[in-house]
Amino acid sequence: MEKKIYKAAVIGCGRIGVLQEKDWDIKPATHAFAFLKNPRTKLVAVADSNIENLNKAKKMLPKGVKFFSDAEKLLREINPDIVSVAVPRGGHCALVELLTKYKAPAIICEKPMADTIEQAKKMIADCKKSKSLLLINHQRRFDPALSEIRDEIKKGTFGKIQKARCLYVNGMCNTGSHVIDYLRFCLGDIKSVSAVKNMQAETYDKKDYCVDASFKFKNGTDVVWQSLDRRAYCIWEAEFYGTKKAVKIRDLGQTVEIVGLRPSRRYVGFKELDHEKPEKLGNQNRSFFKAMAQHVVDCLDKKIKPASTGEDGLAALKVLAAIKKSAENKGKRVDI
Amino acid sequence: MTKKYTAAVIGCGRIGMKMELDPKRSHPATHVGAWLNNPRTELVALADPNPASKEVAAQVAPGVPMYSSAEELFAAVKPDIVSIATILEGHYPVVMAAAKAGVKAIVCEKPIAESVEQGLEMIDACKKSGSLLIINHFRRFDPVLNQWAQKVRGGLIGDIQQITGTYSIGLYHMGTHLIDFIRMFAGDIDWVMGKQNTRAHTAIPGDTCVDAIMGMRSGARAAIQSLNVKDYSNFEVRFLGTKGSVCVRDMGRGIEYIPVQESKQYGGFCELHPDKLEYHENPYFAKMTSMTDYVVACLDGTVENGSKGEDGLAVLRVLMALKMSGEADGSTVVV
Repeated sequence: MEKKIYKAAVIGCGRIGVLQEKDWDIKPATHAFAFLKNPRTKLVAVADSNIENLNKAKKMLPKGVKFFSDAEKLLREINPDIVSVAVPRGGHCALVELLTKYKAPAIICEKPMADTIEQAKKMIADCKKSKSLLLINHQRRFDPALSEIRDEIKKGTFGKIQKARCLYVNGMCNTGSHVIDYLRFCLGDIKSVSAVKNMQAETYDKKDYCVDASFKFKNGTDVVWQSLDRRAYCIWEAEFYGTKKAVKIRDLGQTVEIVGLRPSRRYVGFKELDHEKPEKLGNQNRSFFKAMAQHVVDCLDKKIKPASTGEDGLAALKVLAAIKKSAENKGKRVDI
Repeated sequence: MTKKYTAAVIGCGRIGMKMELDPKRSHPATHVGAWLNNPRTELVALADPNPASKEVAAQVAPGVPMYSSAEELFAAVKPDIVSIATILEGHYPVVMAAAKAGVKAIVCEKPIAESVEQGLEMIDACKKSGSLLIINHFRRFDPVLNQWAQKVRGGLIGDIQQITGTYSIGLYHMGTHLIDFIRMFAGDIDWVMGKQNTRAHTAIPGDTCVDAIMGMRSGARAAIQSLNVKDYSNFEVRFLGTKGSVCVRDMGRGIEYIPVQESKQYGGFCELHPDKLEYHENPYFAKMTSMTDYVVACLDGTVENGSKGEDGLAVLRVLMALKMSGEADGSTVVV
């Protein structure tokens, strides 16, 4: 029997929805093109109340895709299987409520999932009622290589993870949210945070400042999280120091290296990390959007369980709220 | 004719002399071995209260007289150079005795002292006696690491934004090297927020491991983390500037430099891409000969002492702040 082709729509035609496709070499680089390229999905419509963005999207997307300035009209006319929510964060909750009214089978919501914890809880409840699958686009959860690292951490391949450290730019909610989520994906829940603001690291959104923080995970792992100025360069890195091996993820998640041990050349009887022979994982130029689209298809086919649920998005939001509270109290520890 | 300097070692334990007998180490591995090995120095005396040290000395430095205390040694000989390789408690009295004896160059193991007050007195006594006080944070003597520190301070990677560092074996053992190294590249540390890491093994009784976020005077931030040496040892420091990054890894054996470049993958962005990584091996790393060459050059007047008592004292202040913050569950402590 021929497999079902899922109808997809994207609401929000800004950078992440459509426009950055022309700027990035790693493609697909947007929600719209991810669903255009996937053989099991068909991009049927996009919507944006911002007419300028909608017109730009019209020039980029192929014939056959329908354009709407009103999201509800799109839902009424198209009845899509998959809808991407790629509007600014303040609009996520209301839009998810609308999508659940139309019983959208799968909703991919950009991160962070909401402005407040209450909104996030409402979104989860609305999706449960309508039986919509709610996925948060913390997209590194969908990437095979980064998922493999998580699986190997869980299996204990690297030993017990003693420490981890991460670097990010452009706001604790904007990009920092991805790091928090990936740490949770790999290490489980965070027990407490201590954070200090870093006002030298500029952000697009002035309200979304950067912080440097230390986290204690429930499994005992200690993590530091450091922020840099986006005007200098873009960075997203995570390093895990296990008792048997270390893992270094660089280049926004594209370069993954596993570093084993060798006898120490300085301390007799001890070991050290062997940086000369790292094991590399995953090909370069992997598109996280491609992986996202495939993940949604596999979830709708019921082949896999969703890897990035509303509950995961809510948990990341709670951590961000705790970080903010600590940063506004000069680094006082906040238990989650 | 080039002058030959006389040298003595006070404290003949592991770093003073014993590790010279370890066949697995590269030699010279100790103060005694280093002064014996340097063509510009003559080892003239040793001191250690432990009678067993005499047997080791007979193998490592045959014919060099061994005294049971610093006082005995200084009563008998007036060396140009003294290495102080006693336990921490011995640093203060022996430096004071060496300064009183008019020793020209005093190489003191790290950390400088047990307290800031002791450190201040030691610095003052050396100034009054005209003695050079050199703290053995040995990476300061390494010519390759010094070049990289100069490049970073000179703006190779722009303004430093963040520093990351890992260490093991305790704050007062390897942590002191890490703090000194951060200062060497990036200047003073103003405040710390530390958390004790009780799972990481320490070598010195009473020492502790602390993880911390620190504020640099420049406005940059640093985060240090401690690992359990029973799993593996690690000393790695990365400086992330606005124009690139420099990572000193493998204890100081290798340096990775990545310049900022326009992203090939993401239009409109710059990045630190691993494809642009330049790796530089450091052939001088951790050789005790670097220390003795450096001290000789200081005495010759060709090099200015770059590991002063004041540097050692600044490190001690940070170590004490880290310990205090760690004991207070991460409260901010101003250095």
